[in-house]
Amino acid sequence: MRGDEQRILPNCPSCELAFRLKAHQRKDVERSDPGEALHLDRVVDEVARIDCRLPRRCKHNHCMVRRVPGRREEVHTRRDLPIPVDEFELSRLSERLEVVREIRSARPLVGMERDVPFVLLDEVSCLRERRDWFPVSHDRIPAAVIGVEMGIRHCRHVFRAKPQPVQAREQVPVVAGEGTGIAVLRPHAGLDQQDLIASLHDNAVQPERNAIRVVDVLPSNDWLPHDPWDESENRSAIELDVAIRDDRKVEVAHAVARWFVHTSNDTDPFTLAANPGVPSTATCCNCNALRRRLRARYTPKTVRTPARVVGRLAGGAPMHIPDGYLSPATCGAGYAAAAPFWGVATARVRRVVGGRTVPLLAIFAAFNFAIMMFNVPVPGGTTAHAVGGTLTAIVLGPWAAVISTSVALVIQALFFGDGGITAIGINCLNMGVLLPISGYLTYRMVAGRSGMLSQRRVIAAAIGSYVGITLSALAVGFELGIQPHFWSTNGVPNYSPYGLQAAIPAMVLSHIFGASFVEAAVTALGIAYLQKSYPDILLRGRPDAASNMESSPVNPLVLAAVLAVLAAMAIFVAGLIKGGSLSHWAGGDWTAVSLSDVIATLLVSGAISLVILPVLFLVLRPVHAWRGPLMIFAGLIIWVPIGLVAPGTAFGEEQSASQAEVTAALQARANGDSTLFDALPAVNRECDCVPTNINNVGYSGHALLSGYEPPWVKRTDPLWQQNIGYQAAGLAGMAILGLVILAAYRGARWLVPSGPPDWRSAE
Amino acid sequence: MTALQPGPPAQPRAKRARAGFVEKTLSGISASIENAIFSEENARRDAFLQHRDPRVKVVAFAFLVVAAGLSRDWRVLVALYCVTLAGVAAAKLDLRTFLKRVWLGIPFFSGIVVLPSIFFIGGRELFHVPLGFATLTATRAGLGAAAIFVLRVAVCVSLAVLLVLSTRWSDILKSLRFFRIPTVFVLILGMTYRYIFLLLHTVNSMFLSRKSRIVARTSGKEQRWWIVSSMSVLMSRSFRMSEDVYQAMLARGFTGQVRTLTDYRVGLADWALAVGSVAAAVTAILANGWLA
Repeated sequence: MRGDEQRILPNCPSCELAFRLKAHQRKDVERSDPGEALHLDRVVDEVARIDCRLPRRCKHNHCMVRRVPGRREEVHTRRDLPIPVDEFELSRLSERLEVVREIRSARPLVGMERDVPFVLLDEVSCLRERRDWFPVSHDRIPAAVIGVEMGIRHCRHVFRAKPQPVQAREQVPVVAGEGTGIAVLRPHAGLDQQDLIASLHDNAVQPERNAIRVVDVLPSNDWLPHDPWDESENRSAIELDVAIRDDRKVEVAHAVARWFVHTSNDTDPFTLAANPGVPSTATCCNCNALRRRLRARYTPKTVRTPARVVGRLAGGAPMHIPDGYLSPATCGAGYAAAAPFWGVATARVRRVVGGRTVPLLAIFAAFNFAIMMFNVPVPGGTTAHAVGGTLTAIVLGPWAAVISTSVALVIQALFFGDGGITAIGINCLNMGVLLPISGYLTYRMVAGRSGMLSQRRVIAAAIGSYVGITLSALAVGFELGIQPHFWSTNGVPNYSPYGLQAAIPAMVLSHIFGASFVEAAVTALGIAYLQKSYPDILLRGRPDAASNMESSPVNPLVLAAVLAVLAAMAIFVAGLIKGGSLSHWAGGDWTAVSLSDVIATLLVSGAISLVILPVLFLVLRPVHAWRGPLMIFAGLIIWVPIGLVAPGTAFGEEQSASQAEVTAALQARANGDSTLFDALPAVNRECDCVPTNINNVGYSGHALLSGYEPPWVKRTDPLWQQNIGYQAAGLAGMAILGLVILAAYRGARWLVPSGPPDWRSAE
Repeated sequence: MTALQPGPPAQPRAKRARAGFVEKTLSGISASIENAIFSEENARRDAFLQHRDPRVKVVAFAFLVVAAGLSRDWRVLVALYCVTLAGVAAAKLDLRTFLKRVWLGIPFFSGIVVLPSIFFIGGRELFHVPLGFATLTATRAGLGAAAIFVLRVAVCVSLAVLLVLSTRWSDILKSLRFFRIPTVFVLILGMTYRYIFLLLHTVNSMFLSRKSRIVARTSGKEQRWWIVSSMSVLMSRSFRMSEDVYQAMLARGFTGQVRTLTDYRVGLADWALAVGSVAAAVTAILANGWLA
């Protein structure tokens, strides 16, 4: 992988980094190899001043660093800084007591002219500045770049092939000299790589599956981080020497400034590493001293374990109903309702899984229990819990999920007090039965027939779990909400005091905007991860591996229909909220609408569309690419006038009366005569005033025609006549506009001929 | 070890006071395990309640909980609570720990949940809480209802805790057999209980390993991805484990039939407990009617 690129290793090992920047320039970063690239993100705020001592030592070396002026904004953008990880360097520094000092207010500069990304601290105190140059360089290579080393120690598993470490080293080309061997470990014949990778997974380190790549074989006198994991049952031909974690994406919270010194031929700071063959005689400026200083300032975080109570209150599972909230009758009903599901589930699972039922379900119940203990960090800083019922349902099937989630809930209730014992039935009904089954059904509906490893399944999992947990929350709200209705004495509720109007919105809203998303995210990411790393789990029992990666295309009509239904529901609910009741939906007085008018309007629109749309279909055949959209457009025009049905007027549609007229009308009405008032435009009648600035919006004053309707239709005509008038006006208008546009287009084409003639028209 | 010399004294840095998700999970896990150990310790004490037949205890618990659920008078609930405290004494449990465990959890939370309802139930007014734009009126009936609610929750939780602390888990499960719950469920429950701790240990290791390797903050996205990958690893491990367990069961003669070994004998003290608790429950239910 490092190939034949040569590297220079100066005496100070921490100065290697800059070289490696250049050398690894051609690295294949797109594979997002863990450890190959660290993403530099928002470093600026954390980077601090550099120690004064540094430059003084460097002075005699004439270090030069160039500050590119005006690049401050650059740092706020996200740039990929392919600083390769030097295992050797980092494993040396990976002592957890090692320094990461906060370096504040320096300005990393990312990206230079020659595609060599460097990071530059531009505020280097105690240096003598000459305009925008800071002296850093030495000899023939100028411009040290101050590398900002990422605070996250990038770690690797360091393996030694047992029993002869030397073997591994000899197997591979050593790229760098001076006793630091960077080796590529190739697996021995006896090595069970799968096992190795599996054990790495178990230790929550996830290397790429395809190989163990660059591995550092360190000299034995180096101190390596302590590896707490040494599971003897996972031994293989390669012995795990030290476990270091591999982070893929890290955010820099702290950074360490280092001075790097290079040598080159010219004084241009950016011809870096022009002669890689030249051994470096430069010394790093005080790296060790800096390191010592910085290390001493690092204080490891102390963690306070939160109190159990607070932790339970704050992060507790959202939906476990405790004892005493529900009447005994409800609890009994819960048991009675859940029992048949348990029975059916057992029968189904036993039929499918046979004798393995018991251990499989037991362990998956334990898995569900463990999942419920995970704190998932959510944006905003808090954590939430995911139930994971839908995830289990997708992997194992809904019935197995029913049982395992129910068992986990029973144990939680009995043993850990999460949820009441009498409420076990209800809790299992909500979270053990309703959640997995509804989630699974939704998942199947959305996933259709796409392959198990396709992306559509991930989205389906997200939607399914969202729906599942929301329905579950709705059920909980319902169960809590009916308590006051049925079990109250003299108006005082005996059990949960909140009725349906309070309980349902509280439960549903708090989940819809919070816990459901967490559940959906966890399920979707879980399925995605399983698709990537453990596809055999998902493919159990599904032998059609060939089409597993394809998402079957979503029928757009179905999607449009579903979205339309959801939108209609949302609008309906919004209108209810606005108006307060159905007869005042969206604020209008619907009792004033006559049904016959409505029917007549609908009939007119329907008749016109039956006539016009087929005509359009036939007429527009020459432009069949545009036919569909044009027909939809025409349909919209034809159906728009059903808005006439709604009561009320459009605000500001007419020109407002003048202030004098309004005042006179108001006075007349006060005196008992309201004819003047009724003759005022609606915009004045609504507010008994002249709204400010209304006459600046003079629609009628500047329209082509005086109103919407054609001249032979008046406002006082029956609704269906108005409708026809609207249709005629609208269609005529669109036709005129269309002709005008067509004429303009043709004219333009005639004036400005297009490119080479179509080959089809050539002879 | 590289030669490290002490530098200048460390400057205090702003510590993050809030625990991250890793720490919270770890503390949750350790709390669960601590819970389990605590329960088992108590269940093995040499006391009256611990020696009783678990079936009797479950029956007593059921009756008393239903009685508590049906109670509407605070006096009845207080009486039932006293019965529970008598049980605590009979089980030689540490009273302070018991009270802390019961009250600092769900009843406390229920109190908070039910607090707003004090202001929404009509009746004789007790006090007002002016809020600027509105005045909340607390009524006597509301306060009474809230108090009864919290008391009931407390009694139920106390009974549950008492049952769990004075009975071994395996005994509870075996007594479920007596109540005609299918054996397969009992077996699954038992195995689950055991494997929970194994999986918790694994999860603990995973989170500890993350904690010990991370030096600075990572983005929320990465954290969520890590959590999900841990879950998936756990799932894959669970699959493998279940396969192994099944093979082990087969190797030890599992044929699909499950038999449990129970050797429960109901003695005089057990009958006394049963009769006593049923009587208490029935009295409580009847007393509701009398006092209402």
